[in-house]
Amino acid sequence: MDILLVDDSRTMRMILQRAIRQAGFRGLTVEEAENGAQALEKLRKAQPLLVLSDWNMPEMSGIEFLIQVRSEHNAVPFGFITSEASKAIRELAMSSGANFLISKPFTPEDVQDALTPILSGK
Amino acid sequence: MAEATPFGLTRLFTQLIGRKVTFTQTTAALDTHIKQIYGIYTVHPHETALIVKGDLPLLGSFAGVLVGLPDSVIKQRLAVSPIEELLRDAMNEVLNVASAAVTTEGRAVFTKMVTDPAYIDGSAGKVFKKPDHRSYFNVSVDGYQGGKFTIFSQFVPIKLVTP
Repeated sequence: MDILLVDDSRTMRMILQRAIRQAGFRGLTVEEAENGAQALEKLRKAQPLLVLSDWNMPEMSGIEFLIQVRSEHNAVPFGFITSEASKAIRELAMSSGANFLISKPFTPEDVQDALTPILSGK
Repeated sequence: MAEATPFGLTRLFTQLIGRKVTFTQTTAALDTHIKQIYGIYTVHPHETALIVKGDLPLLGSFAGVLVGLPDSVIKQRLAVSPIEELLRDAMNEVLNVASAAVTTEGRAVFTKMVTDPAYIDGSAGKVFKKPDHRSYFNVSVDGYQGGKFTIFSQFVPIKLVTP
């Protein structure tokens, strides 16, 4: 697994997969989870190069998921892709250990800019 | 409540679906028999309610473009009731992303989508029945079915502080 995509919307997972390909990252293995709890289970079994997560999700939100990941001493690069893009949310994400936050709607260029420093050469 | 602007909505939806979308503000629109989709939001920090009402064909266009369907296929699929899961999920996501542009004051958080106004309950139900403000838009989508889009909102409560 190269990227773990976490979003409760099947549509958004589909759009993200497409945006990752359009951003030039092809041939990567992308696994999906519908919420933080499901993603945490997957992370405990395999370590991806990157986690991309929504913020608002049922069962376990994106920020709860990130805090749990970091509390388990997992330093996996972690980015949010969310419609929650206020300054306060951005600051909370970064202070909790996120590497970046992309606000919806996004372009393939936004995805490319955020992912390149992490995935270049992979 | 600071009103959503046609410019902000146009920019957001054009970016979201990758096609030219144009919101044009209008005066009050007459109700039609076109089926409607409703998005319910909470606007922070004042916890006020905001409701979006959009023509089903319009929301269907946004959703269909997102998942790569042509206009003719979207129309066929919208004619089936209940709405298929793929389009329904995509419409839900469209309304979620729209939270960034439905108000210019505070932070709107999308709560849920309903297809029947009877399910607009609580404070959202009160605002929907008696809004402080309505914004009406005609929306065109390049190569796809357009429609009407309305935002129902309430004024931010003012707290009087006595010395």
